[in-house]
Amino acid sequence: MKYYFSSIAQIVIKDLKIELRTKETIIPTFVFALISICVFHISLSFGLNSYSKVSIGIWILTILYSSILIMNRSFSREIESENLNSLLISPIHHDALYFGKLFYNIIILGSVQMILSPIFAILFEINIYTPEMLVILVLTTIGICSVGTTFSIITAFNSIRDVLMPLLLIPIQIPLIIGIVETTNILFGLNTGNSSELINWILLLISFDAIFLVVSPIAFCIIVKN
Amino acid sequence: MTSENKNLEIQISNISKYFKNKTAINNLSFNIFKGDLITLIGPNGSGKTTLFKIISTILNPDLGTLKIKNLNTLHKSHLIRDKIGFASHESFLYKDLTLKENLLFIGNLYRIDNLEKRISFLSEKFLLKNYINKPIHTLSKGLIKRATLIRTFLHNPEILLLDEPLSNLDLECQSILIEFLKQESLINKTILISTHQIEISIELKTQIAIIDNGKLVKHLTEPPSSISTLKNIYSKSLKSGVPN
Repeated sequence: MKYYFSSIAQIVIKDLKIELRTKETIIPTFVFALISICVFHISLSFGLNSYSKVSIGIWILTILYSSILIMNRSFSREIESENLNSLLISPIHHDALYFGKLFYNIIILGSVQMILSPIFAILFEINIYTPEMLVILVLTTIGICSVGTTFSIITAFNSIRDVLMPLLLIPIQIPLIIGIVETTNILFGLNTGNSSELINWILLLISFDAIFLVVSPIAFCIIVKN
Repeated sequence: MTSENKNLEIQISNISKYFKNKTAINNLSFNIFKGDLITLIGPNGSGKTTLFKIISTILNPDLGTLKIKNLNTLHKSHLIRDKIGFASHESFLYKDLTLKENLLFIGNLYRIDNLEKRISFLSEKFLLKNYINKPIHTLSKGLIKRATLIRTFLHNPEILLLDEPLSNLDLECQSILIEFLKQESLINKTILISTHQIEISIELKTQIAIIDNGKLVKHLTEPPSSISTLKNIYSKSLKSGVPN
């Protein structure tokens, strides 16, 4: 068991080291996310008195599309450097490889959100620094990455992976998107839900994460084996 | 020692591998015993690399079974992967990491004891001591090839699969590698070498397996006395002629 966790840690550390040197994922993703929220801000500033009803939707869209850039790089980096085979013939469990990549993706997507959130909060005049919002953002990040990591290995071998990734990823994340929209609507008082409804929607987010944290590594191992 | 007295290390039984319309391996059967030192020769596209990829568990055969140490690779590959070292055409190294970082990463995945010592020993052996802290993308092809060999030997595997091990190596390093393989062979390692430089089979006194169109067309348990004899045998075994 110790070896299992140490393999996961080795993969995360290796990927972070490469990312810190090349910055080939985090900088393009952050720039894309920044441009997205700026474009939304400019285009909506003429017709709206308040951003409160649309701001969270914009945040979700920005993070969802940014995550596609991160997931696309996740395994394509291994394939471009011809190293996936090296990992697959090493004695590590293939699901340890999945979890290593998952934690790496969570760290990168989490970092992008951390850097972006103050700019977003200023532009859209919204306070997203509340404990409830933090829980929702953590659950969302885990949900997006747990599904995305598996899809990244499916699309990594495909020459049209940039097109394929959103086509596969977004439909399967619809329950997650509904959960985020409902919870944030209640949190920001945009609908009349009470705290028990909020808990139910948070439970939906937790269930989504739990299901995909079990199903995704299994699917990943089957894909890798075949 | 005769084959019958030795342990069966790799049992290839009627395996076939197809890529779309092409048959890469065609109903190939071959038994490899512990301590065997075999050179695989054959024309380009004859299936040597595919065979290595199947033995290293990167690919699964479409038909037939492959057993390594009596374990079926289709179901038990995780139990045998640390017994195999595969030096492929690909370097299996991360170009943005230094050689040492690459080796530490791989070494930790393979749970190698005294990893630093092993890295130091191999980098000295293959004359890479001065390049150990350099990123891979700054190294020449020849140096990357040496680094690939170190990476392959790092976990001291019982089975070595070396695909074109001499390519890109200078003469000094070729001699170092040949000496190293002689030492490994003495301690009963199973070594398979795929090459077009057939001289290595005479120098290492290896068995020779000639592969063509995914089939084993000839298996010599003793190397011929000279390269010209080997070339004649090779030509007769193939339609396509002598390798470069």
